[in-house]
Amino acid sequence: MGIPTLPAIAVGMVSGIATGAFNGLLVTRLRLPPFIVTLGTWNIFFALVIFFTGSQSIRSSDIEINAPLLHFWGERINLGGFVFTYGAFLMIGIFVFLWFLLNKTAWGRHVYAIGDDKDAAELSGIRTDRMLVSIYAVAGLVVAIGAWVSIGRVGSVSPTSFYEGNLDSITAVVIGGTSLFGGRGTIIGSLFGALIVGVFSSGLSIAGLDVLWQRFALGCLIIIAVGIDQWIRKVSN
Amino acid sequence: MEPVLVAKNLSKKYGRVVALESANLELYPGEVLGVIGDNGAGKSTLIKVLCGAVIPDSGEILLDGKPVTFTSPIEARTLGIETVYQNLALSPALSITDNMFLGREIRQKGFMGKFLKFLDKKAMADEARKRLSELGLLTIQNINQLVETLSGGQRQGVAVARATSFGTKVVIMDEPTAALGVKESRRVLELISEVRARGIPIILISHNMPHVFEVADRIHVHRLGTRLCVIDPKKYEMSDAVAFMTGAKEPPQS
Ligand SMILES: Nc1ncnc2c1ncn2[C@@H]1O[C@H](COP(=O)(O)OP(=O)(O)OP(=O)(O)O)[C@@H](O)[C@H]1O
Ligand SMILES: [Mg+2]
Repeated sequence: MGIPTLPAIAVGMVSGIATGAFNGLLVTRLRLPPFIVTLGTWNIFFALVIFFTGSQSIRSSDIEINAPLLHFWGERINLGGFVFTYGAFLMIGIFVFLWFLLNKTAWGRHVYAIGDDKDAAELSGIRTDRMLVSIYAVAGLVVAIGAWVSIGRVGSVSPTSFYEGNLDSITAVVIGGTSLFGGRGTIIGSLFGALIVGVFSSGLSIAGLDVLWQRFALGCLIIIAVGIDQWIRKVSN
Repeated sequence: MEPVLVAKNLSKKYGRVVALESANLELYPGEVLGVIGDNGAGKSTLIKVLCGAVIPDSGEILLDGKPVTFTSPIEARTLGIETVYQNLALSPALSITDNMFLGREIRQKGFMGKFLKFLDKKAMADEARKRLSELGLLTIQNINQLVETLSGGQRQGVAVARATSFGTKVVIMDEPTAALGVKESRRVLELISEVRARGIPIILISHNMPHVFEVADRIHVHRLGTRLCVIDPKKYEMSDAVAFMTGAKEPPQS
């Protein structure tokens, strides 16, 4: 659209925050179930993306010439024989930052309190609705950063790529021990969850398993992970 | 003497259920006001309006003679009104310390606290330990124990400790002894007297008549969403109070 790269990235980040906050507002203002809001806006935003992009992809070579900054996180560095993308370091940075946020600040404690029992948190003097909007906004920002990183990784940009990224991330955090019932979960767990899902799927494809059966296996992994979560809750009560 | 807290004509409906119907209440400085009434009489709703957890359909609240409106519990808390809720309002997955300081966390001094907003966990743990042992209410080994691992009575102790340590104006307790053993109940009653001795008035809701008659200076009888009468525990028997409460006997005219 002819916007210089840096402002364009900023627009991307702000869109992430705004769409996240929009989800948060639907959940808190209209009191809609979060799952329904996710389902609804997932489709709405996807349709908008297709509309604004005219369903066009952008070729990697065009990005390289016009906006190389978009590829920044995909650049590689060789450390003692191991090749890392800058994105890997960014990911570690984000994990560390969120760990501090969740464990060392009042904001983080309030995240847990709301997940645990929203009404109790409200009575304890937390502005739960404001907090929820801010949590959704942070999630949106993380998604926007993820999108930037993915441009570097994939090279080109397609409006339909990572369409199911939210399902993969839910899979990852659930496998990492975050409870879908709220209040429980750790950053370290999510990191390992993401690694397990990543290693699992790339392992299966390296092993030459059909994409069809990769999906099948991932589905089983989700069911098992949630099943274990339920079981742990039952046992610990 | 001017009342600290006044509720005037508070009404609250949940759909067609009338929980409060122009209910009044006055709380005077330094007193313990007992509130009794049948299940569903509207006691919890009344105090939830007073502490900002429920927004009334109509009516007025005066704190120190000045009208106040609360849109959330934090506003009442900022003005020094602390509450022990009937359902305790604790977060089970957080520690005792986290729960005590929820919404009023202590930040680290200097740069780390001011700009990075880091919590001073040690200061909070020390303070929580001090408050809990002062109460002598529970034997807790580890202040960073998760609340979900505590017994029902211990949880109630944490809720009571939280309210009594931070209340500066009014302390409201909805059934604070419901889950407690004899010894712990005693301790809460003593605690109520101690808070009163600090000059802070208390509203005590309880179904336990001996407890109410023991510590209350006046007893507010709630029936069908409104105040039926206020009685002096020295002038009436417990059986009278129960009779008023259930409608078996006409209340005294005041
Ligand atoms: N959130 C709510 N939604 C619908 N109805 C409610 C709600 N809260 C209270 N009520 C109704 O309002 C009435 C008063 O309830 P409240 O909890 O104030 O009674 P209570 O005097 O505290 O009773 P108890 O002694 O059992 O604690 C009841 O009929 C109850 O069903
Ligand atoms: Mg009640």
